[in-house]
Amino acid sequence: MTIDKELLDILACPKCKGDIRLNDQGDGLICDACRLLYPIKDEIPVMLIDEAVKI
Amino acid sequence: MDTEKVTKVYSVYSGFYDLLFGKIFHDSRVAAINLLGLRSGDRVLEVGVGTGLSLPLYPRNCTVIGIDLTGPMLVKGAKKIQRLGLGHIHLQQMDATHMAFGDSLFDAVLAAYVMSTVPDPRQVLAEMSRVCRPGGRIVLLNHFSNGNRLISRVEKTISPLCTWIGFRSDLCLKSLLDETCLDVEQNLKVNPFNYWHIVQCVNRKPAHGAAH
Repeated sequence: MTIDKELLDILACPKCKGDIRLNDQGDGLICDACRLLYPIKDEIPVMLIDEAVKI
Repeated sequence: MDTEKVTKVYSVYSGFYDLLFGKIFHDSRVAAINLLGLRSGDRVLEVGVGTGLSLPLYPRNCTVIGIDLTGPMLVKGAKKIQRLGLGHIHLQQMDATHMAFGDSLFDAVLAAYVMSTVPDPRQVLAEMSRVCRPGGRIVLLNHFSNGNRLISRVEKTISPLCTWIGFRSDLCLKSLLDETCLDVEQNLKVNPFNYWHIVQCVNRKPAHGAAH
């Protein structure tokens, strides 16, 4: 999955508002500070704290 | 209304939302988007974008980000984007009270038919102000309670019914804007039945510092 660079630049962790990055598999966005993975489902990033996976 | 209920109600709606609400609210959506005063290259956020009814109305020379709490609504919106080739529009699933954006990133922010459907409209507005740049436009398309005492009483009475269908009828604009740094530029009544208002605000938050 490709994610627009501009989109990556403006997206932040909904919890700490810090930077996020695309994971190696390209199917989730990682906040290293909160150690949370936000999944990308049907090409839509799910930026919900409750649905984030602990890493 | 809590977040879980909102998700549940609107997941059910996603199947027939366009059929039910598409035509009736079209003109109001066009007017609301016009009041965003978009210029070429602007970045705009639509909060509660739902099935993406308004997406074809945005100029293609802007970048549009649409967010919604309900996944099934967004999947419909994504199909619309693909079908219509709207490459300037991106969707994300978010809770509008905890947006996944940094501060002051958007030139304009719209919430159409959102404020009455969320558990904490003040927090949603605070987030809209936070992510909107100083001097940016914030437009609300919503029903706000009437100052008339009799009508207010009717609205309060039908409020539980409205909550059941996923809508709050007694939201007051003045108390919503209280303690925000939003200046109302225009407040227009629109169809159907002049029940809806389009409120155009300018974000007067300081250039550096607190969100609102």
